[in-house]
Amino acid sequence: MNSNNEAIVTVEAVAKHFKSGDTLVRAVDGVSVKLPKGKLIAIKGASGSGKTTLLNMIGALDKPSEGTIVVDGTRVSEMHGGEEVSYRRKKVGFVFQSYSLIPNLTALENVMLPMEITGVEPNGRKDRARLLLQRVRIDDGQQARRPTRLSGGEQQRVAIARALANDPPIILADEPTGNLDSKTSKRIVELLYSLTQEGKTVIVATHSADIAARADMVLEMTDGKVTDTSSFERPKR
Amino acid sequence: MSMVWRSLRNLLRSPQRTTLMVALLAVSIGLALIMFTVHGATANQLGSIGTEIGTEITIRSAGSYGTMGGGEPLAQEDVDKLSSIDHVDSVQVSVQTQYSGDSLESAVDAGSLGGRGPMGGSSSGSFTMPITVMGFSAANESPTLMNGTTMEIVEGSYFTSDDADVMVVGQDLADKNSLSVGSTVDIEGTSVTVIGIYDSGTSFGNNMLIMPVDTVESLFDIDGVTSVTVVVDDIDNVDAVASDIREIFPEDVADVTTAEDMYARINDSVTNAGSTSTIGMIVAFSVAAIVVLFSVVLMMRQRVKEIGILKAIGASNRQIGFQFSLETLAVSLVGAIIGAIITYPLAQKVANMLAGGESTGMGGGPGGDMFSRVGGTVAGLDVAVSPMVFLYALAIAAALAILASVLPTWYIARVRPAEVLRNE
Repeated sequence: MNSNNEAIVTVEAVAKHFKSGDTLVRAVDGVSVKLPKGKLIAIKGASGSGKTTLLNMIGALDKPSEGTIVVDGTRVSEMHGGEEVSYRRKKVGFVFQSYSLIPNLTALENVMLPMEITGVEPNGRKDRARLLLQRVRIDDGQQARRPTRLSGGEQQRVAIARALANDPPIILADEPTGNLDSKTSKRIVELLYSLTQEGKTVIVATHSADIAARADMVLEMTDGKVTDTSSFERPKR
Repeated sequence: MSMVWRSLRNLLRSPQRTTLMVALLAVSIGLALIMFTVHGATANQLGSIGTEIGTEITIRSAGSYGTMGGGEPLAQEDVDKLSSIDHVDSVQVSVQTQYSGDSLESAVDAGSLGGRGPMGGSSSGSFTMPITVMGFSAANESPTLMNGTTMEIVEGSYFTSDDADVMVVGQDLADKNSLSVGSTVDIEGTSVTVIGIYDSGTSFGNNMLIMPVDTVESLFDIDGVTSVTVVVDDIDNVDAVASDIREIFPEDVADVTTAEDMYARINDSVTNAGSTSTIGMIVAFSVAAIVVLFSVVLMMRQRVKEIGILKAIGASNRQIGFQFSLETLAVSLVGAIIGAIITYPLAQKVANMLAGGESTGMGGGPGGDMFSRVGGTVAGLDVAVSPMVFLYALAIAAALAILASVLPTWYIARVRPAEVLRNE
């Protein structure tokens, strides 16, 4: 990895074990990988291959059973309590398959929420939320709607805007196009890719060939292990 | 969009559930407040009973009851022994008789009721009501009259220990016989001077002559007194003093009545009301707590995904817990305020129900004042609902919210966002 591909995420010998009855399930089994900064990285694999678990551990939503994860100089695998909270606020933004928006808040309020949590003053968070929603092409009328009154693609764009709310360097997306039709999926992929042009690192767990085709780096996971790593040099737009 | 505002909006996500929660809380908190109010009233009432009647012992000539019945007067030398009994605070003697002479005309017409008893047994219709004469010591400046009322001097003065052959006359009797302070009346051959006129507030009470004990004994040739009221220093000593008194006045000489029997009966009634209200209060508060806890559990289980999302976007356990606590507090407050409002019309009804509205039905006669007061004590379990009830309601709401916040704190800390968001 050259200086242009400076690693923002370093995963070393990470394993995650679950107990299912008497059986020990190795969801992630000794993964070591370095993920470059400012790139779109796709983690591909079948269901149960461990890609979501790896994503959650990078995002400090889950803890590895073994190994270390270092993100932007922070040892995520050794964080506890308040450190994890602070990390989730500042370093990562999440995008989920089923959007995970708060149903009784409007699109605008959903995007303002992470900023409220971090203590951004009300006017500041409203202005930024509007800006982000415009950035993902959610107009004023849509901003005032609740999630149930938005299409799947619109909801996912709102979720992406929410992930960007606190300007984190890393966006973690778990099957972001899993519930969308192919046309809408392509737009979401383009949107995620465009974030890398702004210096964000976007890590996507996906089945989608579209995302893999657009990614700068693809990790193939099978049975908890990274079985293949491919990097691509893409022309800057 | 503040957290408070968001919490309140969350309550409107399920208006039916919120309404049900508020209704259940209003009923249970209202019931707790009603029971609390009744409990306070019964405690006051018990204190009042103990203070007012608990330490009195009445000694009456055996077989007599006021101016009715028979028996012999209590010997003065025996009465004198009462003051030396341990724990006796004061001894008030009285003597009662009736005047049927021609010098005074009763202010009370016999009417159709006057001919009921043996005194009015005449069938000729010429019966006139006798005038009650009561003798008190000069020290007893506000004696309780035979019918349980007290007198207030409206003209002249009460007698002193130096006075003899004087009397204080009931207002109705004075009016009927054109008596004023300074008038003299021939009673049993002695000229007795009116030195005061009193008002007791009742026609029967205002138809009496009040004189010094010695004057009554002398005029009506009574050797001794007919009733003695002994006041004991503490209710706990009443039994012991009554026992000593019974040694001086055996059963065949005097009826010694302590307030204890009556007190016990009243006490039981009020205590039962108090106990029931205490249990009711605990049960109602427990129900309120269960309603809140159950609702919080339900709310959290339904919104576990939201908790996961909030965690994923950086909310701390404390922030999420605070939001749920605010929601619980808001519901509890609304429930508590409605509960406090329903306390006003219902507290007295519940108190009456618990106390049974009991009345002793007794009164009159020497020592009858004690029974009269006791009778009124239970019948009038007065539950005054003060505006403080709203403060208590707020305290209950806060207590419930604090209690209920323990659960979200515990639950939220255990929600693993990776798990709940994976399973969505």
